Amino acid sequence: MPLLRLEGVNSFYGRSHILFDVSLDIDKGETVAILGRNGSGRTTTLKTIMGLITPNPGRVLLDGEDISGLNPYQVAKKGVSYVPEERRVFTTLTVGDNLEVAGKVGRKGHWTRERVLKTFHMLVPLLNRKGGHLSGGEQQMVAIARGIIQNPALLILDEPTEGLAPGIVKDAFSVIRTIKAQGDAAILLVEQDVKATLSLSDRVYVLGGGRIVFHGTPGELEARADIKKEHMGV
Amino acid sequence: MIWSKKDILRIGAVAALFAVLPLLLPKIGSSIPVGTEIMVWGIFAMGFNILLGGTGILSFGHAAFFGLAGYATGLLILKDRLPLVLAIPAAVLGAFLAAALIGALIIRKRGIYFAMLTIAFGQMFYFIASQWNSLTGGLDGLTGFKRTVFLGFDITPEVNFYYFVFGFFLLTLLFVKALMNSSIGKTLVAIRENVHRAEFLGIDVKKYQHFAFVVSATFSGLAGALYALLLNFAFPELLHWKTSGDAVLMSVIGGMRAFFGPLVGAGIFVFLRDIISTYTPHWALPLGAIFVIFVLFFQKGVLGIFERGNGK
Repeated sequence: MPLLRLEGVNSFYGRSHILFDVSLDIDKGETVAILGRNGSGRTTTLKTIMGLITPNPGRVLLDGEDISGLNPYQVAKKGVSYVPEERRVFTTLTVGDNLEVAGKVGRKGHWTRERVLKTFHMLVPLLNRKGGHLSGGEQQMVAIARGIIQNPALLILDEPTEGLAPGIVKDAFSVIRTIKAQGDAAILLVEQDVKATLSLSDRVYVLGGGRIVFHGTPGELEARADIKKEHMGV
Repeated sequence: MIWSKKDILRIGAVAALFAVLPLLLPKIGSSIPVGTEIMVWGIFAMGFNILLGGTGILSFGHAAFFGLAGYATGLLILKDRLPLVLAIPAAVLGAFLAAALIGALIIRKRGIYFAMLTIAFGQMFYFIASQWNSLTGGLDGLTGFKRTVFLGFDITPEVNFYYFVFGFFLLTLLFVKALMNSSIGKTLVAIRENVHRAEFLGIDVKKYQHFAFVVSATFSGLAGALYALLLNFAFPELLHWKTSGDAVLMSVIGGMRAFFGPLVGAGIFVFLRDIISTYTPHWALPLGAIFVIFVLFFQKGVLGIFERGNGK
């Protein structure tokens, strides 16, 4: 049984139909990327998984259980940590408090505070600093750390490197690799940096116009110049 | 440790100030009950700010819990002849239960709708108190009860009652600080900052908001019970939404993001009202002007002016 399954999902914003019969699977411990141009439905897919949008028709299954229609916090409680794009930390809380708030409500497991701080060693000197006084890259590290400290079964990263300096993008991918290597959490990655994303993903879905236009391994995608040209702009 | 060393020092300093305040107040032309009143409003405002500054929810209905406990204290002493040691907890429990019930009904509403509903519920209590003559004394208020002894301690004299309130005041400071230092308090702040992001972490936002509503209302109740005992009197204005507005005003003037902000606001409010009302019955006018000035120019309140932006 896959960890997460989207079954014929159709999602709407008001009356606009955004997703058309999207089906995808993510297995336990797997890293899956969703690629596609802006407006292809990537973020809508994530919002549907998190319960911000209820599919109609269609189902979202987590460990075989239908979670479509649950509230975002209920989805999160079932082991899905969502690291949204844009400003990501609680700015008036310290880095330590950001982790504490997330860790308390999350599940217990492999990712203890100590383990998280070992992987995110750059955060150790910043623990008492307020989120609002961090650089964009530091904020992003806090956001990913806050996601993984919850010991999710599925970690969803929405554009984790958007707007970051190249050096920090490398750091971000490096911690994502470490998380993947630990194997506890499956990762669903939505990213613009196609090359880096493909290098760490087990499987890829490409969205175009709200439909899945490709599904396969990164190697298989490499061979599909048509898909890359039409739906990814590379 | 639920309090940092810095917390203990700061709360200790405030406690020391209030411990000697009864000696100072008469020297500056004021009186001990003014100090008592500052602490009572301080309890009200500090508790209220768990909801406003801490969780980011504006209520204009907390006077309902303040007044409810005030009336309850008076009635329990007067009609049931309960000793204070039972009457005060019973009154506070009443405020707690009322808040739990009302909160459950309205907490799902957001922003302005929530604020409007708090006014509506508050005014409902106000009209009950002002119309139910046989029980509450109607518009004239409830009189005839007197604070006497609390567990053998005679709290009739002004100075004794001052130190009686001082005990509750100190406990309030310690409790609110411990709460805001705890994971729960940090979660409330996270919710204040970004409801959606908090939900994505798996936080049941409504549950926490309801919790903050009930805890803050319980302090409103404690303050209301003490206020009724200070005056030996309960009257409908205690329940009026304008009294809730006073708590908002105190929090904003003092600084709702600073721990002691609401207390500073309460101090300024009570002290200025005391001074200005000796010259003019229109004391609300200059206070209103001060409120406007703070909202326009010093949004972080008095304590915000002194705040250092060191990011700690």
